[in-house]
Amino acid sequence: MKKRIVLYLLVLALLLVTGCAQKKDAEPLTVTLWHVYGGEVDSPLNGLIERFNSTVGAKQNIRVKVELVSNSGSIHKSVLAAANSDPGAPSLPDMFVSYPKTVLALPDQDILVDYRDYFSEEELAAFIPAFREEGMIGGRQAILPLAKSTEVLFVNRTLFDRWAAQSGASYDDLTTWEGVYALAEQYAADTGKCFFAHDYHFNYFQVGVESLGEDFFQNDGVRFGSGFERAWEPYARAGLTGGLWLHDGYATEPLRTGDVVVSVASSASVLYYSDTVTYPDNTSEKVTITSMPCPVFEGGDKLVMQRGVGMCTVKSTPERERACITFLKWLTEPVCNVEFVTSLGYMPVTQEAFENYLPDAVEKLSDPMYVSLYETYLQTQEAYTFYYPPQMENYLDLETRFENLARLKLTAGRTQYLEGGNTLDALIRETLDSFKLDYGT
Amino acid sequence: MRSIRNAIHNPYAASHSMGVRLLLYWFTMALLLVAAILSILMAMGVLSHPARQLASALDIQQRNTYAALDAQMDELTAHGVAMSEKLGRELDAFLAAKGIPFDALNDDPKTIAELEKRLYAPLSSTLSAASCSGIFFCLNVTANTALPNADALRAGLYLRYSGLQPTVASEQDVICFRGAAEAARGLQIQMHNRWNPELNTALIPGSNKVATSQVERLAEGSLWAKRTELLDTWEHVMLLCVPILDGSGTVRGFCGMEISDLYFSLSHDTVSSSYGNMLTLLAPIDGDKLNLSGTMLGATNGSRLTAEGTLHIKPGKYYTIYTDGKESYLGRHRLLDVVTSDGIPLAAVTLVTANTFRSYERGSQFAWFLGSVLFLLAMLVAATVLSRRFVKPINDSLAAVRGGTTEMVASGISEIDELLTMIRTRPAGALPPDVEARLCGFAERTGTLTGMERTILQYYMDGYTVKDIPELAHISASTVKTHNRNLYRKMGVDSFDELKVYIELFASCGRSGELLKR
Repeated sequence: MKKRIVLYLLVLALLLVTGCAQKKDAEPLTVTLWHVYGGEVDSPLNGLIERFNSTVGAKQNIRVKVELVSNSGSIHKSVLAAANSDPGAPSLPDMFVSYPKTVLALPDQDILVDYRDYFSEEELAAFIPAFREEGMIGGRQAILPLAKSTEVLFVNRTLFDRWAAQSGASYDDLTTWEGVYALAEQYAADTGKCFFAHDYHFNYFQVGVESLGEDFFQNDGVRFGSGFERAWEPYARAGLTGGLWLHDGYATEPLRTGDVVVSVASSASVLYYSDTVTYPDNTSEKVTITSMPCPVFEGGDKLVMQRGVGMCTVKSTPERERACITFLKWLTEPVCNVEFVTSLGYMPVTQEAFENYLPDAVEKLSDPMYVSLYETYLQTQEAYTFYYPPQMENYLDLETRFENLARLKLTAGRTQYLEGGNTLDALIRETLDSFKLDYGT
Repeated sequence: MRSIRNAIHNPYAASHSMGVRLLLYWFTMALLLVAAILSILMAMGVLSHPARQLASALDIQQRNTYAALDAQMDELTAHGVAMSEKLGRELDAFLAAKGIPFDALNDDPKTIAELEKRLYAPLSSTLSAASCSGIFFCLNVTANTALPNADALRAGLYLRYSGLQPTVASEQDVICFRGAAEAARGLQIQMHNRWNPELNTALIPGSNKVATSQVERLAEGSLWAKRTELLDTWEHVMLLCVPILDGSGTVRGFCGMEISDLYFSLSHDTVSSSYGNMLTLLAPIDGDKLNLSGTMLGATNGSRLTAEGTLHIKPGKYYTIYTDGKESYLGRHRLLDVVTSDGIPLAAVTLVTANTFRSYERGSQFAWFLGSVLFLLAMLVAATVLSRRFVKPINDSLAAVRGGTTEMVASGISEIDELLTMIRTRPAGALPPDVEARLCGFAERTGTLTGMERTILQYYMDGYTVKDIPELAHISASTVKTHNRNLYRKMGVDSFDELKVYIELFASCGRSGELLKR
């Protein structure tokens, strides 16, 4: 009798478990995502996510929901605010894109999933080692590479050719920093407008100084050696004479208004470049924008910044974490990954995708801006060495202060230059000294 | 189990043990307890129909949804009207200071940029105060009247929150979506990746009416443009448009606020309930159709609802069903006092996914079933244990008596112990006096029987039954029946069973010989 009762109870318990599982199946498990792929424009990743939701997600009852599409700086701020439980801060999403600097700045890095718990050794080995290595923080695989980019030079060929026809400027001049800044100075003199915009002044100095064989960082700060001074000279000269764009914001902005002709930015910003320039009188002009490898210093190494955020997954419940991993594995499968990266101007992250799928995908590209970009990628990969920023806890602080102060010093110097207060060479020296003093080492 | 079944079918049979009867008693009590609990739960409404419970929960949530949306739209209209008045005053002051008429702004990008910078302040302060994702104004002038689409282009500023996120408005970055580049840079506002210097009013449904109709009251002239795609972005928005009047009451353009999909979904989170997450929608409802492509969706966690397609509305007894043929939702809606630019009224809608509710319903039924079964099983086990514990000492005590042990084994029940004590103290073989008297009387009454009746009684004493008698006595069954009736009457018994009890009692006492002596 007793055995029979126990048996009945077990059967009923099994039925109960089955009943609960049925209930769970009815409701999709929604996981949230903050990403940077697309920013304010229509994001190709959002389309891929919709496809995931209607295929793999529908089968496995998972729904990925994009809660924020912004830039990495904004996401960095929001993640830190959420992780520190700042007043008014949002809750952390299940997944967010991040550079190592964001993970390093977290109050507790253990809030993130170690991908080694969910990916087998074999699966992780499929990623390009350098990309994977960048996401190893504190001995944990905290960041999973999704797409990688590098810095390239974008040029508005329509405006450049128009000016070159009169000035004799050549595309060869755009291969070195000295050439770019000389053209900037000349263009400003000819037209009264800026010629060149940097997305990240900090990157120019960082990679530039390292390419000249010197360390850019020293302890927790920046080392102002001869390499830095060499990088400052043409940069400041172009800035003071009006050839360098010194406003805040991304380089896409002045290119869209025809206020600059050339920019150095992340290859991923190709999505934001428009083939139309709109002028203040509301007239528009169709233009051709193409890319070239990032300029280097004459005599310096061919070094270029490796960029591209990876994905962090926040620890939650095993079900939520598994749902995130399902999505990430889907997104990093070679076919899907190549489709994803080529729609955004990135490089894939697995060896197989790079070797077996990227060449075909590039051949199918029709937009000249994208075709040019992937040609530039290939040239860059052949001729350049990729530079990875060091993992420093105060990296973001150094970067933000540098960006603001460099622009500020040159803007102030430009005003002095226009007022005729000092000679150009003296102003270059003055702005450098002032920058070094205020920035500190 | 068989003994329980027998006990149920023949509860008065003497052959059933005390344990079985006690088990039945306990189990009946358990059933009564279950019935009582269920009745109380019914009376308290806990056991009411899940659909009725859902209806009640939907009613409460729908009231909140309606109140929140009604207040939000009212507040935005109020802010829009106040902003329009400020912009009108600033516009007049600017034109007066410049000494130019309004139309002179046409084809003058520099002055337009200057005016935009001046009108930024009321725009920015309203953006900070209002519950919206963007704010704009545009004037009936353009920087270049020679352009082919100049009729639709309007100079103005359109500011939006960039990278909107679920946090307080003060944390959001503002970005210039439309406006003169010079104005944006002068105001140090970053420009949108798909920036343009002017607004294309052809893309704002109904805006032409707002920008041209003469109105006396601003609130009257205001209008909600239906949900529309924001050009070159991944977002859809609804725009409130309020006319801008100059000092003479002439409409000079319009201003308003934007509610983007993302902003709406972040500001209207799902409300979790036992029946699934409750979703908030601001939807145009045209008859029995809810147009999803014109709908602002709140957070949709736990559902697959997207702003595409149409939901057909079917009123039901407890809730309204909204279905697109594939997915169904249950909910409520109530029309707001707002009509979109295409004349379709907007409604506040509260939904739960039908699958989730059905799953809850099944789970609830199953839980009750399981709970009841488990309770009854537990009661059965308890009844068995209690009965055994109650009966065991009595059985032990009776066994001791039957075994003839000299030592008294207590049953734990005083009446039984007293009875057993009395039996023990009586001489061996003696019967209780009243029983003895009954037996003697029975034996005496056999003397009144006829010959055939005595023969039949003898057959019964030999173990035969009523059915055997016709053959044994060579008489008909009806004659047996007549003899039996007389036999019972004379012997003072009511049935054959009672007669058998007497016969067996005589046999067990070894006194069968006393019968039929006389």
